[in-house]
Amino acid sequence: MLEDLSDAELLARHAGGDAAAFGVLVTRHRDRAWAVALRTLGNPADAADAVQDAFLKAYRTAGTFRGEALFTTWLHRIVVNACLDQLRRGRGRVAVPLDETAAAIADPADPVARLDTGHDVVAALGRINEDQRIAIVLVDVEGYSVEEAATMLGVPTGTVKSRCHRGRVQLASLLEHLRPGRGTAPPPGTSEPGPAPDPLQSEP
Amino acid sequence: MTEQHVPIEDLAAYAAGDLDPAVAVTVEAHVVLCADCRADVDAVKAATASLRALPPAAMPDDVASRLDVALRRERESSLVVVPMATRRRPSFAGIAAVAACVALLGALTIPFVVSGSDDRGKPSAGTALREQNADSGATRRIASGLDYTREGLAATLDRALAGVTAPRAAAGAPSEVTGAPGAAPGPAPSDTVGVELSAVRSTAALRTDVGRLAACIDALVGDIPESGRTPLVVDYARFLGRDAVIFVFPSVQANGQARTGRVDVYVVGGGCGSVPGGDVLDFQRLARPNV
Repeated sequence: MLEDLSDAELLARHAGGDAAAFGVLVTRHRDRAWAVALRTLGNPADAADAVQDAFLKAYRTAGTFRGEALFTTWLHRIVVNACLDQLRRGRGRVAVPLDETAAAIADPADPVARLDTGHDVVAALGRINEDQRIAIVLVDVEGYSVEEAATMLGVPTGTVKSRCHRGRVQLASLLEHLRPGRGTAPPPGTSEPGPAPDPLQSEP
Repeated sequence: MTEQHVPIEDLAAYAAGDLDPAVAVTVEAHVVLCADCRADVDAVKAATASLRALPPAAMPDDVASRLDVALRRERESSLVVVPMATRRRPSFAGIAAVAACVALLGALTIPFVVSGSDDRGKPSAGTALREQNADSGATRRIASGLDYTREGLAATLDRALAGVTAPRAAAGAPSEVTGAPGAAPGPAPSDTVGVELSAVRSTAALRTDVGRLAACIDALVGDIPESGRTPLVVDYARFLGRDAVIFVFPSVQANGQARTGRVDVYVVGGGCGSVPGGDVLDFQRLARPNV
């Protein structure tokens, strides 16, 4: 059974011309690839494009996988790059207001979104710096180690940590605005060094 | 006291346990005594916990099946180029898919007329497609009954657009064909329909039920920008011997921009609009120069 084979074995079979092997890899990894793309891009249409681009690229370049990294890490690096491409392509678009972002994510036609109780978290995630967002998606949402995320992103581990720290600060600030009364904001007039800087500002 | 507060990013690093132990001791000493910094640490910890509590997102069925067909196309080595003459087709942005469905069904319930079945001197399929669009601004509806294949999809589509229909035996319902070949070849190209389809065909609901047709179109392209949601062509036909409907959409990117010269062709079975994934039998992105 192909399903019993490891990722590396399946990839070797794919490279050897086994037409069914890659399909098993797709079935095995598509949900996590989807999650990364959806959380990073914030909408299902862009996520679908990015994931499709990524899997097609993985399909075509499977021969370049050398096995030093885990297949998951290799695939996610491709997914992350496809997401960055999508973000670059959509850069000219007008920013979507926060509540509309949440409404789009909460589309009742999307059963996945319907089960998602973290609308405010998702909406806030869509508002923070892209580099910080991807780092946070990989580490906090998907639970990859900082080392794995660093390999996926092609940056040093220190950079991943720093992006996560900054992103969490931005996110905490946004969530306090989204959840009045639930935050831990200090009494008016006493908050230093807050309030946090412009939550949309780019990473220096 | 303000200048003695810990920078917020250091607090985030402290909250994550990422600070150098010697620095962490100093920060801890401050945080224990400073309510503001403690609140910031708590807020960052709460935000991090919210992220970790997000439910897993599984790939929706329709995205998964589109991915499958895209990979199958890749395997079968991709694009088929169909020659096409020059002339731009008009933009379809703003035409709601449901409105298109209603118009589609409205036209399909009128008696079908065989026309354009004369192969000699026929316009190229590309010309027919563009002229129909330019004239009517609507979906071209065909019931060619032709049996499409993966490899010959583009060529069969060209034949269907040129008015070729399946031989009557294969088309299934010869007695329902009305009109006469050669009669009124030109006046209403958008209503050109080759062969009436039997009501017992498995794709009949997609022809008679506006809700099903809308649900089908939604399953196929509901998540892409509106300019890509109105079909250019719908052909009630067959695919590898089974009943199928061929949808031709303008190919658009996620940002709504047209992929110039490309159309997206979906081949669906009778379950489209009622089963997860849209009952997609095949998907091909065809090159259509100058579309």
